[in-house]
This record gives sequence, structure tokens and C-alpha cells, in this order.
Amino acid sequence: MGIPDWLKTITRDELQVVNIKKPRERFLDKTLRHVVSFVEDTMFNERASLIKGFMQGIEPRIKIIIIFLFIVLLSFQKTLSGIAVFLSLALLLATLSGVLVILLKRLMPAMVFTMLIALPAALNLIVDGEPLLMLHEFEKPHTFYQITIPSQISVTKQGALSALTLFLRVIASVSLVFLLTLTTPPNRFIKAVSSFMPGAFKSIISISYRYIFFLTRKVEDFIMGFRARNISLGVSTRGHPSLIGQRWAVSRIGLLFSISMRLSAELERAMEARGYDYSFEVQGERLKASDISGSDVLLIIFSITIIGVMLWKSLM
Amino acid sequence: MEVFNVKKISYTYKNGKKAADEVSFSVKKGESLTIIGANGSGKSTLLYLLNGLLRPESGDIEIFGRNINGNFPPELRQRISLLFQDPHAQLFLLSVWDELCLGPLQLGLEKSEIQKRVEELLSLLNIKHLRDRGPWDLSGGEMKKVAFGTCLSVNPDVLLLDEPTGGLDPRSQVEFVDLINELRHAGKTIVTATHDLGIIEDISDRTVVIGEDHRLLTEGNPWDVMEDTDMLLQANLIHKHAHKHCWYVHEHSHFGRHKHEHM
Repeated sequence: MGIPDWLKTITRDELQVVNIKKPRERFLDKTLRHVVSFVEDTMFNERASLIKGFMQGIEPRIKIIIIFLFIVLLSFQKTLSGIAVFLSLALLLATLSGVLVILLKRLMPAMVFTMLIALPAALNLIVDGEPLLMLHEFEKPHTFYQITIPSQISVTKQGALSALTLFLRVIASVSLVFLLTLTTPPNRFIKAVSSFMPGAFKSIISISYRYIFFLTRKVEDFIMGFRARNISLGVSTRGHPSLIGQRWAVSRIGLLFSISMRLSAELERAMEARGYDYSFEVQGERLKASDISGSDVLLIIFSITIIGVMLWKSLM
Repeated sequence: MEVFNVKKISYTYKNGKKAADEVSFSVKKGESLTIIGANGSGKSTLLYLLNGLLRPESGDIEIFGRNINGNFPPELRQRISLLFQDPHAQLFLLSVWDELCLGPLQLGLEKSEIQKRVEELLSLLNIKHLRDRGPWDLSGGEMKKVAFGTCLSVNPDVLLLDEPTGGLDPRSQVEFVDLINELRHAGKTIVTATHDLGIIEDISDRTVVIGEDHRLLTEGNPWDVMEDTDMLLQANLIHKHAHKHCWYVHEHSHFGRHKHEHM
């Protein structure tokens, strides 16, 4: 059968769009795009780890141990100066690794949310203390159920100190973790983390990582496929854009689930075919002396010094 | 008139993977252009850029003579249709019939007109027996045919085809090539990304070759491009092999005609 007549018509020559402007993105597209972008940025972005910097050259397993020790030690710090040491350390290492700007960008959401959590603690509504800054004064105290609002609402010295401590502690910990993930290629990071775990966990982590990557790519393809077919003229009820969007979202969830199911069955068969016997060992997991470079030794000595000084300081 | 005028476009994915590096080419109205290149050379990315699904990080794309500046107007979605390499990406309704109706419904066509259009498409693609099946339940080749049907259902002026013959059995491949040629002769503009060198001479007026460095290697008529074995080797599209005849060893490319006497 030849192609039908309606398919032979080419009617328009010129682009008849008067104003070319970006079409408004719908909530569903936007949300999905951001979710995919977040997963990609946090789990698969290798750009920062490919910069030739100090921390990028460190053996991932050594990095994990050192950062872990720093975070444990940081959680025992009670003074602002003690916490500031670790924050400065994270920022210094980030500078030496050429990822300071990326680190600060990544820290922004953590800073905002930590501030939102910590700020109320600075007021005398939560922690009573010596007033530092008067914010508002009522004629008399007000009581709502069991909550009493004092006549003077102020930022207290003790409250501000505890809020600042919480804020710095969270930011220092998050900076150290980001420093680790930013300077290590994601696959090497996962491999290094799993090297500290028993076989079953190792296989679950590496397979999950691989398939999260695969399924994220699938979702990206789905979004593109939807956008490519979305003519957005919305002239009939059955073809209304929002209804199409809902149908699309529902079918994609179902399809993703069915793809995951099929993949897991195929994966099991493939593993069996490759002789998988429920043990999961990967070559080169055990840390050998030959894996350790000059920069590793430098970082180890530097870290031992810092850890030693901080321990000695807290014992004094 | 030029349908696409691509000027030095570059694109890098978020993970830092470069996919296009200062690529320039143009596509005239009614022309059939094939983009060939090895796996990962960025052919699909070029189609996504032409379809406004990605925005170039540098360079310009003019469509129908207008610089769209990365803002792809929805009106163009009817005029330019993209067939994805993975048909899963573009099929999302409950039956093949619904899939083929979606485009015409969005265009606001009359119910009787939609029904006629979809019936004709089912016949054209030899998928009448699939009309009530769910797209997830189809084989790869069947799914590809349905996905192609969804592209055709809106009667686009331009078809962007990503590996159209990938995953098809030999008979369906020939049918697809014939169909592409019919559409070509009907005046449709067709841009095909493929690494199936066997179909290039059959379906294209012009061919551009993308190298593994994501830059344009060459462009020309498909016969000349296919004859340039050094360039095809450089693009990693063919490979050389050496074999021994009775008294000497010689090398030749592993594609196209190669006449020699075996002793």
C-alpha cells in the first residue's frame, strides 16, 4: 500500500510563529526534570572529580577513612573554635582541590535549611538567657495553651551561641562529606565504600548504583519522548494537555516498574550464566602498599597531626 | 529553502561528556540527509538539538529560516517529528490505537478524519493486528513501527529518524526503507541518524559524517562518502582486515565492494 494522500501534503513553507518565546514549562515536566537533574548531579557528575587537585589524587579508601575520622572527631567538639577548625580544614582542602566554588554552591541549600532550623533557638522563646538584641516588646507576656510568649522578644547570647554551634557543626560535617564525594569519581566512591562492607552489601550497592544510572537515563528518555510528542494545542477534552500529562506520568511509573522487574530477572539470569555463586569479590579491593602515593602519605601525616592536636586539646 | 541551518553548535552533557563540537550543516526542504557516525559520536544528540529537546551550549540553529535561539515553539512539534532510537521513550498510552490517535487529537481533527487516518496508518505499517495491543506488550520491531506511526500521524513536514532500522528484521528493514523513500518522494524532509551503512545510499541525498571527536568529518553525496574508506576508517565506521592469499597478505576495508581473485 502506498502512502495515503493526507501524508503527501506539504502545506506550509514559512515558520508562521510570530513571537518565538520559550513555551511555559508545566509543573510535571519541571518537577521530573529537576529530580533527574538532582540525581545526576549528586550521583553521576564526574566533572569536579576530574579536576587535577590535591584530594582528587588521594586513594578513595584512605579519603573515606580520614573524612570519617574527621566527622567523628567533629561531633565531639563542644566549642566554636573546635568546630571552626574542621570547617576551615574542609574549605582549605577544597581550595587545594579546585572545588571550593562548587562546594559552596552545593552548601547553599544546607546552609539555608540549617539556618531555618537553628534560628528559632537564638530567641528567648526557646532558650532563656541574657538578651543580646531586642526584637519586639509587648505590654505584658501572652500565654497560648502551654506556650508563654515573654513581654520582650530578643535574641539571647546563649541562644545565638547554640544556634551558631549547630549551624557550624552541620555545615562543617556536610562540607567534609561533599569534599569526599566531589573529589572522587562516583563509581570509585561506591567501590571504595563497598570495600568496607560484607559481600552481600557490596553486590547490592554496586548493582543498585548501576541500575539507578540506567533507570535515570530511561526517565530522561521518557521526558524527551513526551516533549517531542506534545503538540500542546489542547483543543479536545480527550487530548487536553493536563490529562495527557497525567496519563503519561501514570504509564511511565508502570513502565519503569515493569522495566525494573524485567531487568532484575535478566540480571539474575546473567549473573547465573557468569557463574555467580553468592560471593562477590572484585579485584583490587584490598588496600596494598603499592596503592598509596606520596600525596596519600602527606594527607595521612597531616590528618594524624590534626587529629592528635584536637584530641590533646579536648583532653586538656 | 533551508529547513535547518546548523551553525557551529556544541553540546556537552551534565556529566561532562561532549556530544557535539562545533558542528555545522544545513538541510534543504525536501532533502533526505543521513548523519552517520560510530556509537557515541553524538548523532542522537544532534537530532535532539534539531527537535529543540536540548539547547545548544554555543552556536545557532535556524529552523525554516528563523533562529529559534533554543526556544522551540510548540507549533513546530507538529511540523517536525522525531522517531526515538528507543521506542519505549515515546509510547505511553494503553493501546496502539490510542497512541496513533494522540497526535491528531491534539491537532483537533474531526473524529471521522482521525479514524480514517489511523486506519490508513495501521495498513501502511502492516500493524492492523496490533491495534488493541498495549505498546509495552509488543516486540522491539513492532514497537518501532508504532512509534513511527505516531510520528506520521500528525503529518509532519520534517521527520527526524534515530536509527530507524535498528532492531528490525530484514523484511521490516526493507519495508521501512521503502516507506522512507516514499515519504521522501512525497516531499518530506528527512534527517536520519544511523550507523547502518547498508541503507545510506538507498535513503539519502546527502550524508554527513560525525567523527568520534564529535566534530563533523565530511559531508557529500552518499556514494562519494561511502567510497572514502580512509575517512570511514577514521570515523570508526568500518574496519580493515588482512588476509592471506596464495602468496601474499593484503589489507582491505570490511565494507562495500571488494573484488579480487582468490587463488
